[in-house]
Amino acid sequence: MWFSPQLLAKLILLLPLAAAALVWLPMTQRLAGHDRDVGAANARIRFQDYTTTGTSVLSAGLTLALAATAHRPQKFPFLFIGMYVDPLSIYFLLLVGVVATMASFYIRPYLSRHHPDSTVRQALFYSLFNLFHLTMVLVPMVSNLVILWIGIELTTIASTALIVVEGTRRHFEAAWKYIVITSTGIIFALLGTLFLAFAFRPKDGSQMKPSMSWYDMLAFAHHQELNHKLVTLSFLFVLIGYGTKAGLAPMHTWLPDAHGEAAYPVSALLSGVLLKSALYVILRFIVITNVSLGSHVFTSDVMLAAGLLALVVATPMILRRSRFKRILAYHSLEHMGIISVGIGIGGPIALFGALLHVLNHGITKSLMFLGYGNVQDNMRAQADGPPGDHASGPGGGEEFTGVIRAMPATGWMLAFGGLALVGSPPFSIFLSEFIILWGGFTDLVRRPSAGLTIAIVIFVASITLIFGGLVRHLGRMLLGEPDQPAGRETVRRIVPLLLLFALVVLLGFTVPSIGPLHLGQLLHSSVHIVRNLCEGKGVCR
Amino acid sequence: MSTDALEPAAVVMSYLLIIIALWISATRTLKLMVRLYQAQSLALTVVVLLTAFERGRSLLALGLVAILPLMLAVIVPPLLARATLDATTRRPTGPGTAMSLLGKLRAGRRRVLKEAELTWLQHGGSRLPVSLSGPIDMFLIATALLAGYRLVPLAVAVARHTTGAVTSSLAVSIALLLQGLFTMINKNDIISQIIGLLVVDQGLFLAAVRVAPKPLAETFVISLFLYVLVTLTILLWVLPGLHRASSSIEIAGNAELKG
Repeated sequence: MWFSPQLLAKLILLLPLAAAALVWLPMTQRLAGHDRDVGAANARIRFQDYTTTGTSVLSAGLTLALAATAHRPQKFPFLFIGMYVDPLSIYFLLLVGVVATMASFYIRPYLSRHHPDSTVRQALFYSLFNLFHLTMVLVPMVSNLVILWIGIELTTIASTALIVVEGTRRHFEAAWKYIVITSTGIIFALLGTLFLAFAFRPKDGSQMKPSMSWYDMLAFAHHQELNHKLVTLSFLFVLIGYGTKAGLAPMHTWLPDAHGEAAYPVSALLSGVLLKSALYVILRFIVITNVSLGSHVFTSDVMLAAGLLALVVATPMILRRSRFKRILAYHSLEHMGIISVGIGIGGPIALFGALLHVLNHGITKSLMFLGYGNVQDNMRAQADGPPGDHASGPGGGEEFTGVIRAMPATGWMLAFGGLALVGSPPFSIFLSEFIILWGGFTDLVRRPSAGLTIAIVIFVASITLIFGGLVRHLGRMLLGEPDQPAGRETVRRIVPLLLLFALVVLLGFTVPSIGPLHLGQLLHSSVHIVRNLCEGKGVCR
Repeated sequence: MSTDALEPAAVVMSYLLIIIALWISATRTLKLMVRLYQAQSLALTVVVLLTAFERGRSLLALGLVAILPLMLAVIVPPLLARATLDATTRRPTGPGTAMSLLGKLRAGRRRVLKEAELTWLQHGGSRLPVSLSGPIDMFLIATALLAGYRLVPLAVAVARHTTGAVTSSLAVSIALLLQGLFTMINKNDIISQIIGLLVVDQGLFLAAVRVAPKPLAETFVISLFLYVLVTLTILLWVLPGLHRASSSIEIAGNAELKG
């Protein structure tokens, strides 16, 4: 075969890195004075656009190829860093690929609307977007747990820069909260990692050497060479640290501001992928902790509690009247709660549902953020307000009405996407939530417990209340007569939404095989990794 | 000095970090907070050097590790000063004297610090009175010490070096972490919040250098370089931008978004 899985994985890393540098290339022409007329400026923007979208599409394609060819976990070095790619990594890479591809198509429309004349800002935005993409594909591939922490910190730097590049007061404030809260929280994660390093206690005659690689840690855990108390403490610290980044309550306060203020292609990535990157790291630590303790009870209880807290905190926030983008941000908190509850319930069914929910939420939320971006740009473009103005409507609510009449394609996408987001059938999120509940009931029938019963009641009550809340917000925005004229909906702004919507519908009926990708198989393998069941071999290597 | 004497010296110096953090938390002016942060960074540099000598690290590794706190001690105050000054204020350009580049940089640094000190003298207040914040700080330190002393016996077999050194360093690290967090919550302005974050940073640094198992210490130190990058992103970009956009360094003046 021409492309080995390792080469594919390296290309997935290299492409966004190269694109981040390449988008600056036309600026050299400008410096040389060859970019003064409109034609040259258009050529420059086209180059940056094609480079970024091309990179994202190619990277997603390579991820599909990786999914088809990597039949066993791959270990390889890349720029002196140890990499480890298994089905769980590929599953998260797939999510990055889909969301980054769709979001990349919206950068040019966004920049031409918000920063039409700032060539440096445009180049910077494209470059940072590619760097952000790079950091998000780096995280699922790194094997060393400390380097993984570095990867998560790099996502913070890249995404903060993408928020502040807008340059308004609200953006700076949002970026400030984001970087200060997540950087403080992430210190707990490093301390947790340190405790795990500390927990290594080789038995007499053991040949094992200290290592921070995930698979080595798993081997230590299997051989009972990790101190249980320190592993427990490590998991708690790691959950606080990466939980801050994953937007779990009560460390979520940065989330509505950052997601609400970022440019909509960035919001799609922040909500659709970044939160899940942190969740991916938590999953890796869950495996180590479970294997070391010989039971999943501790991590299950903690994840269940964290998930329920997120649901309880998110519900009143969503019901409150607020700007739509902030409501979408609070929905991220809700869905991270749902995923955590799924992980907390554990078992093959609920875990399958939780992992499927990761993808479903990423896709649906991207649809919503990008669709809402269309509304903001097209309806505000025709109104008097400047692009940077984020003034709310009366009572702090949304400023748009009658979107379906003004922009039918986007309006209907938002309507269906909204219904999908709150878990209506026949859309994808309904399926994954249903599977999680099914897993919960199965567990309850097998081992009746008051705790799980309460958890299921809270889960169902929250998603029911949230359903009503979002439908009310959507009704206000989408129905009625538009209070301002709207611009024309372009093909470029509609096609990615249609593709995302097609995925939302498709994933509502089945877990499909698309070309070489057998999503169901990939999910099953990922569930096996989280449950650490590698065909009876013990350690998944 | 023999290597046996280095360890107690490092332990004493690391306890000094807690005292300085306590002072930072209790002080009422940003000017003093910045000075105390500088002192804390220098104390940490000494701890790092003592640890490196004690554990027989190579000269290169020693330099690499010690340079971080030292660098922060030097660059953080002027960066904070620049962020404090209103970025829209035009700086007076001095007469064209025949100064060297280094001389101009030094003069610029001094001028910026002097101008910022006027603002720093008016800010740095806390939400809670010292009579309340002091006991909270002491409680946090006691908690950290207890946690450190409870945790370390679990890992003695791992650390393979003196229990006392690991215990005290872990306890000091956790204490700095908690004190830094408390400073961030308790203070009224964004510069103090950053100083709180930097105090947390010092705790992390100490843990990586003194607590991490020896074969893995280098990996943890690499992560600290990254953390400095985050700090610099805040200091060079976000903090000045925020101040420029809102014209206020008070937290109340930067609360347009509701979280």
